[in-house]
Amino acid sequence: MKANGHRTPIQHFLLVFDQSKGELIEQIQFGSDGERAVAAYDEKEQEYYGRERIEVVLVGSDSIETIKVTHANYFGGIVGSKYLADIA
Amino acid sequence: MRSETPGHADGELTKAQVNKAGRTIRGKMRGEPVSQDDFQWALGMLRKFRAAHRIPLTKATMGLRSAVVAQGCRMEVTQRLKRATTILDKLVREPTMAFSTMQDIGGCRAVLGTLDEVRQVQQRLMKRGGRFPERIYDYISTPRESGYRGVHAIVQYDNRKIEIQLRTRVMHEWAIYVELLSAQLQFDLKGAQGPREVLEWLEAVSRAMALEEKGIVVDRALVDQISELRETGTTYLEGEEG
Repeated sequence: MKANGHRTPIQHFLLVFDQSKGELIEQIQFGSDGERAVAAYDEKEQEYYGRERIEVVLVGSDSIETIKVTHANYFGGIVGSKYLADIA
Repeated sequence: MRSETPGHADGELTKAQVNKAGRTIRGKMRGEPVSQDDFQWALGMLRKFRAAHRIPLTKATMGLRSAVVAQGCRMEVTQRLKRATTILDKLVREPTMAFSTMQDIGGCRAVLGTLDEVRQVQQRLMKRGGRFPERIYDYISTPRESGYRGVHAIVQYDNRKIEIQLRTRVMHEWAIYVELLSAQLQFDLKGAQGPREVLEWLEAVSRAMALEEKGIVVDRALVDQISELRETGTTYLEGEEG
């Protein structure tokens, strides 16, 4: 997939992240239907309007596994460097 | 509810409409007298303008994927449409910017293995006929004040600007950590906003990670500086948690 899948359609995911808990609280998949994903993005943002510590974001990639890397802040982060390890 | 501007039905957007929506939103956010109808109209325009980036963004992402794969790099590419609240914040933070010129409503990001791969993909993007980036922001040669590193390229598809971000895994790790901390502390640390104790520490860590990424041994002075700054930084963080 990584080497040959660059023509696969974008898979859209709507993520809802609770900053106060540091947790992803919703993950909705739309497949390759970008139009439906954008409409749902608008609705979900309005649902959480005024709740400043809730992040609603629409992302798209070849798979959720890639998003877990590129947007790791919604999935617990990345630990590798000794400079950033073991910090609250 | 106000009606659409005559002559621009069917969701068609004009720069003038988008810019007017931007001014209305700014006014409301600054506490100026803006009617609820006008504000709702402006938010509706914001959503339409963002939705108008959907197809250009997908084209840019496919182009970035092709560039990454053509260079023989592992394909870790994701796109995102900017959050409405972040667009509102940016309109206030950059008061002279016309909303229609906002460059990162659609954004895509490639996380690459090495500095060489970042430069190779950057070069390939710059060679693409007819898609020559309008602007390149080289935050590797000149990191941001916060220590943020990466290359940003602004490209256009279908008359919409899209921001492409290229990072190595090392740069990405730092940026993700800063995102997490920003959410925890409610500061834009990547934009160098926040407590000095944390900002200075993160900037020093970024310098050390940049040196090591180039194969340069971090000298004793910087190691000691990071150690001291880490202590004050983590003390601040523990205070926030408590």
